[in-house]
Order: sequence, then structure tokens, then C-alpha cells
Amino acid sequence: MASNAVLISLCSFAVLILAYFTYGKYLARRIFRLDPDRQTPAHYKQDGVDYIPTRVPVLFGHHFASIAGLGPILGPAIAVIWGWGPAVLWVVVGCVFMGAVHDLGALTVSLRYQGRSIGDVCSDLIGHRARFLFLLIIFFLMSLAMGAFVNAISALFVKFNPDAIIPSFGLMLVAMCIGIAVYRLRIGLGPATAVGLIAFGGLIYWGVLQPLPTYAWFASEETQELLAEGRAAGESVDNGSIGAVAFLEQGGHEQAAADLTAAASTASRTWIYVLLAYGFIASVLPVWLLLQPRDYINSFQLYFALALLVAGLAVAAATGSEFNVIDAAVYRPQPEGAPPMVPFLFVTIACGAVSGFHSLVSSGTTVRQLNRETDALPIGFGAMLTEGALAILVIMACVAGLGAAAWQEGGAYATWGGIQGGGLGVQLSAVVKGGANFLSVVGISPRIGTAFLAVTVVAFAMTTLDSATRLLRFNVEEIFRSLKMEPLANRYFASLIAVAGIALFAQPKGAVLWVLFGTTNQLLAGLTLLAVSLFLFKLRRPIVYTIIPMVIMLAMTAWAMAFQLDKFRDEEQWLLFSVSVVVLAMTAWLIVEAILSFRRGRGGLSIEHDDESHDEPAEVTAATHLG
Amino acid sequence: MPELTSGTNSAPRVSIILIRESAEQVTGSGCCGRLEGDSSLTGGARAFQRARSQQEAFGILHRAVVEFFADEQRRSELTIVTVDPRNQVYLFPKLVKDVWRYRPGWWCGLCTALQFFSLPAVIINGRVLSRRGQLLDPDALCHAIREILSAPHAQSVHGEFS
Repeated sequence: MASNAVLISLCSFAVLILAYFTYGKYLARRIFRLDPDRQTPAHYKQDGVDYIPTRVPVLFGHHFASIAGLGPILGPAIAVIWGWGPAVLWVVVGCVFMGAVHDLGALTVSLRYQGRSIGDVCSDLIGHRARFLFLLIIFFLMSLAMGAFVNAISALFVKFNPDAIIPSFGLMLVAMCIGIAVYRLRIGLGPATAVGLIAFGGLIYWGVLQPLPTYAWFASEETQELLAEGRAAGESVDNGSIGAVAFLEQGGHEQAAADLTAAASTASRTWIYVLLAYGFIASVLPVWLLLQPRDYINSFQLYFALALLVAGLAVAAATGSEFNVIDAAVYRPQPEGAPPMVPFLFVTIACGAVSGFHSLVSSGTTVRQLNRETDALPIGFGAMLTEGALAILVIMACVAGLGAAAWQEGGAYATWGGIQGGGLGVQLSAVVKGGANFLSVVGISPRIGTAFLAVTVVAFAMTTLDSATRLLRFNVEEIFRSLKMEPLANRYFASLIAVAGIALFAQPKGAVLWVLFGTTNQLLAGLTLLAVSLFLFKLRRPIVYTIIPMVIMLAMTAWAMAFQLDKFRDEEQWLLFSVSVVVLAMTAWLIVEAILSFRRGRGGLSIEHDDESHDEPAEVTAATHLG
Repeated sequence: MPELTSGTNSAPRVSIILIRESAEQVTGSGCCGRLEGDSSLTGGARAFQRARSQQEAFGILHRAVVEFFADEQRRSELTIVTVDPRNQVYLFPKLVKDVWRYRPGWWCGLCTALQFFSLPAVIINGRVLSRRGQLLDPDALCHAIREILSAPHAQSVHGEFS
């Protein structure tokens, strides 16, 4: 039965909004007891540097830009393999009862701990071992995430969108020009932005006109000639290697197809090395030269892409476009070759439903700018729900925008093998193509739309890659210091470990890699929820709202890892096996820490709390501010 | 606790916009790449030294305004907001609103609304006070604010500060 994409989206948005005004307010008022009159760290530590009282619209923009990125795009794009129903349901339910609770909880606990980071708070609430566990999780999390991103970009460049190569690398030059213009030549921000965005548009057009099928560089001359002849004869030869191989197979050139497949693998590996080298170089370049200006352009891309997708979906609904019709099944109990939906759905969609990474942003930076305690509701709870809405849009791009062919035999989503075959590029390509179809409804050519969206996701991944390489280095240094191995905590060795860590995971394992990342991310969420639960427990408040999400997260993590272990051992994938063992061990460790913490009882809270003074008038004031 | 914004419908007499990069914004774009806020993870001030020194310079301006005009802030006569240039969804409408509200003159207003200023920037009542990315002296900033506050009606700052 065909379903209406806009209707599903609107219903999901309505539930999210309803949850904000009901469950969110209940938690803020009754459980976390946010008090508009209690001074926040932004006020009593105000320094104009880190601690700045900031209005909700400003802080929401900063916070949302910090949590929205490639995460809520990749996860949902994989998870729709089990049908759109479970994916939408998990995004909505997970967002409301876990993700938003997690973000609001992290923000509130950090708020009461004078704006300290969640790692510090864990150390204080759970114990010093928790601090080390936190650092270890962060290392695996960042290495896996960056490995997945490198894998996804290389697959996208080679197998699906060679038209994104010129604009993606051109964008770096544009960003550097903007950096020099604004920070060195002191040219106005507005003109520099205008010129930069026009140049970016030109680069996309250039990329569309001149895609770079780098896989062909590694193919034999005969294969190249066959492809050139096909294109010269006006046949539709897709620029990506997957399409080109299909073209050769249809023409009966089995040998050339095999040659091209091998060439594509070589090209993907080469791109992985190029991207790793880029990550290393970019991480040592001055921030003003590349990172800041490219981040600046990325923010335009994020909001522009979001606005266009929403507009496209709305126009598709209004005009009765085919892209408003969901082609995928509501529920696919056992797609061929796919792991079971439970527990894998819950670790595949991490960032769109619940993400441990958000606790870092919430506790580290956002908390230091909260003007009033009650602002934690729109910032912590609200921004997470908005990210859930983004995940819903991604799901619709895959299940409605992509077209029916993707779900039929031979299509990308027909089997798990289909979405595994092209690494994580398949999922990115699905979002890009589906999204471009939505954009075509508002008059943007599908080729331009595809290139624009491809460059946007690549830009997200690459900006994250270079900054993460830099940050991972500090993380490694800290781990060595906490192990009392000071000589190894130097920048060069730490940088080497950081890049090696990313390289280790940047292998073409596709969705498996993402599942590992999702599992680690959920583990971090579990750790944060444990800290929040302990905080509430020590204050003698109900912990059911945070402990149940924590138990679910840890159970799904352990279940998924235990399932993967068998598979990795059978397939002799020893690296992934080892990582799974480590993740499983960390999960067990976290469970032990949780039990020990609760057994220690309610005492030992090192901060002031005012439950005794929390009287009825205070409740009324809070209720007024929370609406 | 001093309130940030006026809860009334009337416009504050002084609206200050400080535009600088936020720490969180320089550590990547989107989730899974940000570790800001935990000095042991980010290497503290070492990670992004230049951005950090700029933030600290802005901190001096911010503290000067907050300390010298605490009463005005409490009375909602003065608002100060620190915005990241990446947050254009907030920044652009805010600049246009301030230009519309305080009428700094068509040329100044155009320069502000179209962001003909380099970063970091200080904008008071729709007029850019910083010059070519050079930060103001806190005294000059406070003097400009005092002048506006002593005027009979809300207005833009005079040309000599710009």
C-alpha cells in the first residue's frame, strides 16, 4: 500500500512537538526541577570568553549546528533496510524518551556541576575509573566515526558521485580564499561570503560538467575505450563505477566489468590514503585558514539543504508528485542477508535517536552559555527533537525520493548485500539521490541537486575529519598520561596513533563499521545516562526516566556486540572481532560501575543541592517560565 | 540575577552585537567531531590558540560592558549578545532588525545589514564600531555606550567612534 511521505513526516513532527510540550516540560519541571531563578554558571562565572549568558535563539543555533551533521544522515539511511516503519518509530520514540532525555540530563547535571564536562562529572559521581573508561570510549568512538566517514567519502567519490570531487576540493580553495580575505586582508564578511558562495555554485556546475571518474585511471585501456565509446554513442553511462560496471555487464563485456570493479577498489583505497593525508595536513594548518571558513560555508550548506528538502517535500505533496509516495515496505522482517532488526536497528540509528556525543557538546560548551536553567528545555530537549526531524527527512529521502527501483530486485535496498556492496557510499548515495529528487520538484535540476547534496555531505565529513584528527591527538596524549606513560604523550607519536587509529577503521566494511560506531556511541550515551541517574538517585528523585533508557542502551549494545562476535570470528575478521571484544568489555565494565555506584548509596554528592528548599512557589515560578 | 533581554516590548536603548567564533564552532561541523569543553580532550588552550586569544580579547570587552553597565542591563536598557558568524540564521535578521530599529543612516545601515565588516566585529545600534577586524579599546566602547545612554532618545552612535 502506497503511503504519503509528507503525511508521515507531519505526523512525526507533530508527535515530537507534542512530546516537547508534555514529556519535556514534565521532566524539566518535576524531575530535573529547572529553576529560572537559580543562577547559571554563565552568570556566576561570566567571563565573556566561555561563560556568556546567551539568548535561546542564539544558543539553539550554535547547539544545533554542533549536533547535526553526518551522523543523523548515515544511520537512518542504513536502517530503512528493515522498512520505514521501524526506522520512523525508533527515531520518534528514541528521540523523545531517550535522546532528548539524555541531552537534557547531561545539560542539567553539568549545570549543577558548575559547567564541568560530562567526563569530569562521571569521575566525580561514579569514580576515577569512569574517567578512564570515558577516555577509552572517546578514542574508539572518534576513530570509528572518522574511519566510517573516510570510507563513506571514498566510496561516494568512486562508486557514485565523481561529480562531487571538483566541488569538494574546490570548496577548500574557496574556504582558504575566504579565510585570507576575512582574516588577513580584512575584507568584509558579506562580500567575501557572496563571492565565496557564487564560486561554490560555479564549482558545483563545473563538477557536473566535468566529473572525475578516478576509477578509470586504474582500469585497462580497453575498458576505458569501451566506456568512452559508450558515452560517445550517447548511451547512458553512469559516472560512478557501480553504474559503469552495470553498463559493461549489460553490454556483455564481463572481462572489462571485472577489470573495472578491481580498478574501483584500487581507486577507493587510494582515496582513503589521500583523505588520511588530507586529515593530517589539515589538522596542522592554522584554524583560520581552512577550518573556520569552511565551517562557515558548511553552515550555509546545512540550512540551505534543510530548507530545500523541506520545500521539496512540501511541493511534492501539494503537486501530487511521485516522490511523495513511499515505495519501501512499512516493515521488512528479514531482508536477505541482514542482521536481525532487534538489536541492530537501535545501534544503527544512533545520532537520529540517541547519541552519546551530544553529551560532550551539551556539557562542555552549551551549558556555559545557558542564560536561565529553564533554557535547558528548548536547547537540550528541543535541539535533539529537531535532529530527530532531520532524521525523518533523511528516511523519507530514502524511502520515497529514491524511487521504487531501489527497493526491487537488483536495487540498492533489495538486500543487505546491496547496501554493503558499495561501502557506506551506498547510503550516502541513497540520501543524495532521494534528496535530489525532492529538490527537482522545486525546479533544481537533478544533476545539480545531486552534486550539491553530495558536496554538502562530503563537506560535513571532511570538516569533521580534520578537526577530529587534531582532537584525537590530544585524546591519545591524555590516555598515555593517565597510564603514566609520559614519554609517549608527545604530539608526533600521538598524531601518528590518531591517524593510524582512523586508518585502521577506514576499511571497506560499510554498514558493519557504522554499527560498531553506533554501538560505541550508545555506550557513551549509557555512561552519561548512568551519571544522570546517579545524580537523580542521590537527590532522591525518580530515576525511572533515565535508568530505563540506560538499561535499554546497554542491553542493545551488549546484544549487538555478542551477535557480531560470532560473525566476525566465523569470517576471520580479527580487527573487527577485537574491537567488538573491547566494546563488550567496556559495556561489562560500565554495568559493574553502575552496580557499584548504586550500592554506595545516596551520599557523597559533592555539590550543593536544594531539594529541601524546593518549595511550591519555586515550582510555580518554574512552571511559568516553562510555559 | 541580571536578565539578558528586556522582557518588555520596548526596544533597549543600546543593542551591542559581538561577532566572534565560538569555541564549539571551530572543532568541526556537525556531530561526532566535537570534543569542546573538556580541556583534557581538546588540549585546553593549545588546540585553537589563535581563536582562543581572540575570544579572550572579546572577553575583556564583554566584561567591561557588563561591569560598567550592570544597572542598565538590569533595567533592560542595554542588551549584549555574542554571536558566531556561522549562526547566520540568527545574525542576519538581528542585524537587519537593529538597523531598522536604530536607523544609523542609510550607508552605515547598508554596511551593517550586508555585513561589510571583517571579523571579529563590534556593532552598536546598527553601526559597526570595530575597524578592519581590530577590536575596540574597552574605554572607547564604554564611552560610546555612555553617550547613547545620556542622549534623550535611543539613537545610533556618532560617527567619531566608527
